Amino acid sequence: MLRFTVRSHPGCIRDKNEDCYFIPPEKGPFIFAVADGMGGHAAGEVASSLSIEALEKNIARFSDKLQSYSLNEMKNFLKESILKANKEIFDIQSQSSDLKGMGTTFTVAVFFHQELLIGHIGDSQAYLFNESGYVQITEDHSLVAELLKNGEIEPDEVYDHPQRHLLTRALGTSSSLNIDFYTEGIKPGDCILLCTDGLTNVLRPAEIRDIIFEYDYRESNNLEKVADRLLNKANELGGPDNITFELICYDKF
Amino acid sequence: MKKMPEMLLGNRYRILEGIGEGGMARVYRGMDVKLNRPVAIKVLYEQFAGDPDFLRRFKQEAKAAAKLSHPSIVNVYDEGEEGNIHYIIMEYVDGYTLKEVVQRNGRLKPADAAQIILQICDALVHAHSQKIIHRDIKPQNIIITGDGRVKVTDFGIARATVDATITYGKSLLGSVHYSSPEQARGYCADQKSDIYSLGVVFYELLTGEVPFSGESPISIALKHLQEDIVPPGKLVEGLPAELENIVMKATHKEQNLRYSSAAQFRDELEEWLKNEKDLNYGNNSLVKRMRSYTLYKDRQGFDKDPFEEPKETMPDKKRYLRKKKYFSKKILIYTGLLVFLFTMLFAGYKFIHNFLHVPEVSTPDLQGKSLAEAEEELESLGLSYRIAREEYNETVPKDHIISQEPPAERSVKRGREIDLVLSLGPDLVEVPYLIGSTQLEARLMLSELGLNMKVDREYSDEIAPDYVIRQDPGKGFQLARGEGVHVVVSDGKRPFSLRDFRNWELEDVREWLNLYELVLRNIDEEYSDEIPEGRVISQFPASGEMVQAGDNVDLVISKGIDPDSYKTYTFEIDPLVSPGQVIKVYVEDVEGTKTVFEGTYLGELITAEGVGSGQVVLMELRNDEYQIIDVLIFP
Ligand SMILES: Nc1ncnc2c1ncn2[C@@H]1O[C@H](COP(=O)(O)OP(=O)(O)O)[C@@H](O)[C@H]1O
Ligand SMILES: [Mg+2]
Repeated sequence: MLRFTVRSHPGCIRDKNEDCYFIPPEKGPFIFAVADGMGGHAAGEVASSLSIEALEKNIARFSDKLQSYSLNEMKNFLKESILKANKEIFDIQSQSSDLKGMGTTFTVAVFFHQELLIGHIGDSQAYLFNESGYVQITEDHSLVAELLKNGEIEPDEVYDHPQRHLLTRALGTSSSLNIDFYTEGIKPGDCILLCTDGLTNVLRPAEIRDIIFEYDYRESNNLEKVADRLLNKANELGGPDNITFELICYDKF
Repeated sequence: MKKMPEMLLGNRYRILEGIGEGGMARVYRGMDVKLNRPVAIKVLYEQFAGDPDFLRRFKQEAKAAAKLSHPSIVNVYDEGEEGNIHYIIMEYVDGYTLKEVVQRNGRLKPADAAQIILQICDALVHAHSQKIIHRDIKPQNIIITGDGRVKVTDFGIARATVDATITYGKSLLGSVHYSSPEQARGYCADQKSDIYSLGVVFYELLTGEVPFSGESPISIALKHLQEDIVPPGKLVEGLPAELENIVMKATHKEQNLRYSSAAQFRDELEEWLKNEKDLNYGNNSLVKRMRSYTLYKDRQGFDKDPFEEPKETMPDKKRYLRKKKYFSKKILIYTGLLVFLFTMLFAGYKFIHNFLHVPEVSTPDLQGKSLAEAEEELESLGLSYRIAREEYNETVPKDHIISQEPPAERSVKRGREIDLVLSLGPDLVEVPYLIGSTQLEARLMLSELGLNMKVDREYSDEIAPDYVIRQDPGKGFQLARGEGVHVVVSDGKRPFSLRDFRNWELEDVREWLNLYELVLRNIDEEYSDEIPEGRVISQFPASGEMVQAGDNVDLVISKGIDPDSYKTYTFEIDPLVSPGQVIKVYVEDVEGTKTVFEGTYLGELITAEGVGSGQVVLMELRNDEYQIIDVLIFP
């Protein structure tokens, strides 16, 4: 059984919300996604919503087949959905001068039996929380993450690095695209967080974990409380960016 | 390029035509109608125009840049807005960016490259003295005019974009080929960063390649931080060591080990250029040769001259002069006197002797000697010479003797004229422009010139398969016949493994192929017992085979089960109803529905045939309605 909840909020500084998300259709499959648009003006909003629409369309189109897919077929399906979105966004931006340079992050998660399959581009994130701790499943495609990984900066430089907004990969910015995929085994009691950086730029993963466990998300109604608390906390801390996140709990059968 | 509406910006600037697109603006050629002079108009992309913070910085930087006034810096005249259009008015520079020059030409000659970099150094010295850092020195921002002058654009404007993203949200890491390590690390640029970037530009001019390239900007950025630059001399044979040192110093990863100022960079370049000029160039005008760079665009080639290095025998002469200086003045005077005495004594004897008979001398071996040396040697023996002819020669350098007549060590009378065959050097041909031609065309062009071609292939997302991506050396270089040009030819886009389409609907396959830029070539239809009608039975290439964008894919689609393969089943039906009842028997099979019997049953056996699969249905009329009483499913 899966329980999930979602929040998406412009934050305290920006007047527009350029984040977008996807939650599963009623009859499944269990696909979730978040997208954080980039590009000036309205461009970011356009890119992130196009990416989610493309996923939605592809799910509708293959809905009867999705149920019988193997893990590998599911991965191919995700890959194709993302490539379609990329093509669509890139085609639009190369034809329109207002939308030039637009793009979006895209992190999509599929719950597949006991496995979690994730496709990922950009600096939105997927975390796994459980009693024994937490782990960031996705690797950020950002300059800062790369510099950190290569020992060029220290961990404490990450959060106020002058160029932490520079991405190394995004959806829709070029005709070719390299997507990261992750497969994680999950077990009952695991809680997955998909979020845009509006949440994690103000809240450290450990703080998020504390909030999740403070309310014991395993109790059925507490998931909503956890989500409200996370959103409020992020806004209390200034809410400098759009905040979007999805919490998905994998319960016992 | 999108056309701008007919209007005057700020009541005086008319937009004429688009000339380029950059990272944050579109550039137009325009006219300042008030001063009646051409201008370049840089119009910010609309997406930036919505951000007041960005605009404020952009204006601030434009104003700062407007204070710069230097012959090697593109003048910024004005800045303003008209509705949603934000623009900068600049000096219009008619020429080509250095990027275009390198793309078309490949690497430049060291002295030409040095001259260009020198002028950019000048521009930097001026800007840095005004506390303005360029931050984005790259060949795209350097324009060479038709008369060989170098102009740097976009001073300080990069800063507006960098700062803007902090408040404005995400953006994608752009090109970092010329970024200094400190910029790659994400921190502020200073004068030393401009020096580094200029060092990289110099590297590219000298070698035709940037020092670091890679799949993505981040991999390049990390190389700037972590990898040593391959010294340019390793790529280009015979590159002057001084220039290599200059490049390596300018591009040092440690800021404080680079040149401390653009002026110091400049001075070292100038020093080298001065010596180089003395040695090789004489007063051959650089401007004249630079002009030729900007002519490439016309593709009809350019004057033959500008690239040919003037071959003078300066080095020999210099050595000769230097030797002479070793004699001190005193010695000169004494020897002079002595020589004078001897000459006087000797002259008398000689005069009489010569009068009586012409002496014989042995001819010297002149082969391989320079004409100057030969001349000296012959003169000392009292021989004269005549240049019989000049011819190309691969081994004997230009202006050296290939052969002589009479040969060496023959006795000849003094005053005899020796015939010399002089070398023109190797038979040089000019390398043609091969980029954009197919491999075959390139081979033809080169073989016609007697040049060889060495081919490497690499994947390219931009260049179609079999077309030339790069060449070395570039157009305009002189090579001897038999020498080779190295070309890199596109192998098309990177291959990937084809997936399995078995059991897919044709429409889904079409969409997939479209997404991966493959071409659906043949569709054959076949019957299949397993695959339902309309779905894929098999494919060519098979799944798992490597394919590239543009490749063909053939499919075999199912027509369903083969009708000929249907078995016919014969049934003998005993309806088990009492005779006199009205019954109906019909067969439903792959061919449709056939009624076998309808009417009053008289006790006979009813024979039915069914094809493929289906059912035989037996019905009985009860109360005016047929009711099913038995069904037989086959096979
Ligand atoms: N002052 C100028 N005169 C003529 N052409 C110019 C001028 N400034 C820029 N250009 C042309 O416009 C192109 C785009 O310029 P720019 O917007 O500065 O690009 P980038 O963002 O790559 O620096 C340049 O490559 C050049 O060809
Ligand atoms: Mg520019």
